[in-house]
Parts: sequence; C-alpha cells; structure tokens
Amino acid sequence: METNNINLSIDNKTDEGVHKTRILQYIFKKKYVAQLKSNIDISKYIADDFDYDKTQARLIADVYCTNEHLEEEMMATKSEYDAAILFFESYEGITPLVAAMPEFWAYLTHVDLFHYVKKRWPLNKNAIDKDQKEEDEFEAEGMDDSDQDENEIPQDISSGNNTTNKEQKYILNHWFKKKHAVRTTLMDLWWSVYITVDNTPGATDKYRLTKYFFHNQDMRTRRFGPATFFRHKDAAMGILEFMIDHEDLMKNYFEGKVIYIAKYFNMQGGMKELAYLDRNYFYNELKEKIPVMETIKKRSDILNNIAILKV
Amino acid sequence: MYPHPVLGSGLSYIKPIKEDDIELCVNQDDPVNYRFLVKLNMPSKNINALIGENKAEYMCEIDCSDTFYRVCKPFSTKEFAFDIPRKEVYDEIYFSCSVVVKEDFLLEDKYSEWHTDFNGLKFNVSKGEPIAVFPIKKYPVDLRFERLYASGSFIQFDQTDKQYTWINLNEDKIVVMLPKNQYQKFKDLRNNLVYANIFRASIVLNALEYALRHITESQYKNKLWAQAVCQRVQTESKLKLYKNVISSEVDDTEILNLAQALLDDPYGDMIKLLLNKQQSKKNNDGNQ
Repeated sequence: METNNINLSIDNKTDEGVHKTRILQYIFKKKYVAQLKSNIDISKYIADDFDYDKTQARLIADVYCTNEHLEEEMMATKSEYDAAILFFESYEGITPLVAAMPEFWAYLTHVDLFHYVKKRWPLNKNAIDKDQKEEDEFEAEGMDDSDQDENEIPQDISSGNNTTNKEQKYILNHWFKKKHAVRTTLMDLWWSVYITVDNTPGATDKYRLTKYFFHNQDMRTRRFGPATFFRHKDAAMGILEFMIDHEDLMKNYFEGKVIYIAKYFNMQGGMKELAYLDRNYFYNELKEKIPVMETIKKRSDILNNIAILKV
Repeated sequence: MYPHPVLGSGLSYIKPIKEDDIELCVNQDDPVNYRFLVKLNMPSKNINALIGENKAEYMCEIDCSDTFYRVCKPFSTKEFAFDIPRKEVYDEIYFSCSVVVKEDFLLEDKYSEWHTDFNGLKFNVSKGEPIAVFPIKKYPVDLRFERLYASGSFIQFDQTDKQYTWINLNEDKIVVMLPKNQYQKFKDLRNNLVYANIFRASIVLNALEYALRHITESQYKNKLWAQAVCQRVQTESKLKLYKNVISSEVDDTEILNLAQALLDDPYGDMIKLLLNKQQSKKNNDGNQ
C-alpha cells in the first residue's frame, strides 16, 4: 500500500503482546479533488498506478490503517462481503465524520486501493454499459439520486454519449464519493457494514445481518441502501432480521418482496416518525404483512400496484 | 398531510405553531460534543394534556444526511439538552421536533382547537404517529466552520495583482486581497503583537464591516463566513441584540457595532496596547 512520501507507521504492542502496525492515513486536499473531478484523464486510470501530485495529499489526525497488506488481501477476497469486512476492520478512527469526507475516499480510490478499485470496477465497455443500464433502470423507477449527488456531473459529460464521456461518467461514479447513496466502491463497502453491524450486547455474530445484506447487491445498493428509512439503524436491523428468520417466504420472488418492503416503509415514513420506533417495531410490522407478501409472486404484483400497500 | 389533525401541519389547528415556538441554542465549549439546548413552546391545551397523561411525548430527530447520523431522542419536557459527538456529524444537522404518540389511543378535540372541518370527529392514533410538528431547524457543523467559529477568525489575507486592496466575499472566509508589494510587508509585520492589533482595528475591522453590509445578499448568505457570523449572533448573548443586522437593512451604526462586538473591541485593545508600549518605553528611557 502506497503511503505517499513519508510512511508514518506506529508500531504498537497490543494487550496480547502482538506487534500491530498503525499507519497514519493521508487524504487529498479538497481543491485537488475538485481538480481531479473536473479534469478526468482516462489514461491515468488505465495506468498501473495513478499519477498524482504528492504535494496535494495531507495527513488526517487519528485515522490509521492497521493492515499494510490491505490492498493485496482485498484483491484476493472471493466476495464483496469479505472485502468489506476486511476493509472495515483494517481501519481505526473512521468516524461517520471522516467517512463523509470526499477527500478521504478519493485518496483511497486513487492511491491506497487503486488496484482494487480498478479490479472491482474495470474500465471496459461491458462494465461501463452495464453500469449505464443500471443507472437508467434506477432512474426509471424514480430512484434517481442525481439531485443529491455532490459529484455534479458536468453537463458536457452527463449528456454526451461518446465513449470518452461514458468513461468519465463511470469514473466519477466509482472513484469519487456520492452524497449518501450506497452505490460506489469503498464508501459503499464501509457504509454497508457500518449500518448493519450488530453491536447489541449478547449478539453472537455481529456481522450476521451484514452478511445477509451483502448477499444480494440489488437489495443493498438500489432498494435499501439509498432509502431514507434504512438510515435508521433499528429499521435496518429489524428488517434484515425478519428477512433472515423468514427465509422460505423471501426466497420466492425475492426481488418483489424487497421492493414491497422498501415501498411499505417509505410510505410509513410519510405518516409516522420511524426514527422513534425500535427494531422490534419493524420486525413485527413485517410479520403482520406476511399474508400480503405471500401474494407477491411476479413483477406486476408489486410494480405499479399501489393497492397492495394499503392492505 | 396526515390522516388526523396535526398541529403544525396544514390548517388542522385554528391556532398554528409559529417559527419562534422552537428555539435552538448551542454551546461550543466542549471539544468532544456539540451541546444543544432546545426550547419549545406548546400552544395547544389538547396536546399539553396528552403529554401530561403520558399518552404522548416530545421527540427530537437529529439527522445529518452526510454521515448517516440519525438519532431520535424522546423528552417529557419542553426544554431539553443533549450532546452530539462532533466526530459523528458533517456539513449540516437538521432538528425535527414533534410530539408523538406513545401508545394507541383515540384522539379528540377537548378544547375546541381543531379546524371546524373536524367538528365532532375522533381519530385512532398509534405509536409513533405525530400529533404536532415544529418547524425544522438546521445547524452547520462543517469542520472549517468549527475553526472559523472557535477562533473568531473570519478573515484571511491574500495577495492580488490589483492596485488597491479589495475584499473577496466569495470564499469560506472573508479574504482581504492586498496588492503584492503590500502583502509581503504585511506578512513581515503581522507577527508583532502591536502591529497585529493595529491591523485588527483597521484592515480587519474594515473588511468585516464591508462583509456585514453584504451578508444578507443571496450570493453571500450561504457562505461559511456568513453562516458563522449568523450562528454567533443567534447564539451568543452579547451579540443577540444585533439580530436585525443579519436579517434586514439597518443603519450604519449597528453594523459597525456588530463588527466591533465580533472582534471583541478592537479599538479598545489597540489603544491599550499602544498605551502599554508607550509606558514601557518611558520606563526603559527612565532606567537609562
């Protein structure tokens, strides 16, 4: 893992007597991130390493990477879930505040984990076309988050259909932070763990809900991830717990049931203060809706069918 | 719109909730947490009674869209304080206060406060449903804002190719653009305490006064320096009397007074320092 000109490693001894390296984290300067976004040079993203101005990186206090082989290990993981847990556990000091900083993610995607990001989001025609198709579907369902997007894709890129424009848009989507949607690379991995990790006393496996959340990308990045109600941790945990406990119900046309759950709680959010309610509320509410969910067997049972939400 | 009368939503109550029925104060002294104090005024006897009967309670939802921070705090009183860890929030925090149902009950208008459309009607309400909503308040918590706020330093200096000094209001801070040759000399002088105080009572005060004259204009009012000034005026007791300066046009005297208050009496400090310097020179001359 590249750590700029100076590797500020601290060699700590843990309580178990094991030496643990802690590397103080660098981030880009804010203006440099703006510069990178407005002048996307595709050749730099295809190169083996990203060529950046080292004077435009600075240290951030109290954020450490504890795994000097992180990128190597992430590239060797077999699933996004494994990569996410590895990433989540390899950092100390990532608070919601740090995680909200675009400069932090931009440095990771362009420097420390550049190769992982290239592997996960390859710059080839198939991947770019697939990405565009997903965006179009997302928009068609009225779930477009571009008005909340702090990337603010320049008009000449967003409206252009030539290859360069598509590549630039793709890079903007996956190398830079979106406002709060869960649809980019590293930020998406970290947030997905953060919102679902179960630190309740007595929980035997704190990543049980996280693992389930990662088992379906559509649910994670399109249905629940961007939803306002899902930002209430009790909602996230109650809903996922219900889904795990009712596997038989969920496996029959999973997508449709996920859409129903998202629509149902979005609707509820308009009439109730969902943040006031605990995880048991969300779990029990879905339990009462089991007979309704059992009727969802095909797309038309849920899409463009408002009546089902009123049952 | 809700399926039952909600004070603060639409016209379901004859007497509505006003903007100043919610007041938000913040204490910036704690380096670890933002300490907020919320004061509510509840104009409805119906709702006050329901809170007294423990069927409903105040709730404050704190939401930071940028960091997934979303917390809901229930309270039984109209005035409540709470801490938000600084490292959990970024950009802006939104406060949505309401009165929510604690347990299912039948909502009715015992004190004739509802719109006549609801005469004689009763509504089943269930846990979590609001029966009153207050106007949303927001608070900027940008880290850069923190530094601005804490140090009181709204001003920074830079150099320009222009012949004369000008004030740039388009950045996070108010930037005094000094002509190149003056900028270099300024940098050499400002580390001296006496000169720094003179600069504060002259260049800095002038720049701040200029900025205050433009603070309500649409292109500047959302700038970080403008938000920092507004927050200080709204929350610091010595500055509250200058609220009009940041909300409407006022006479020049008020702007100058606010600028001096924000800089904590720069004229006074300059004069004190010069007097001390003069005294100390006299003492040195006397000893020779």
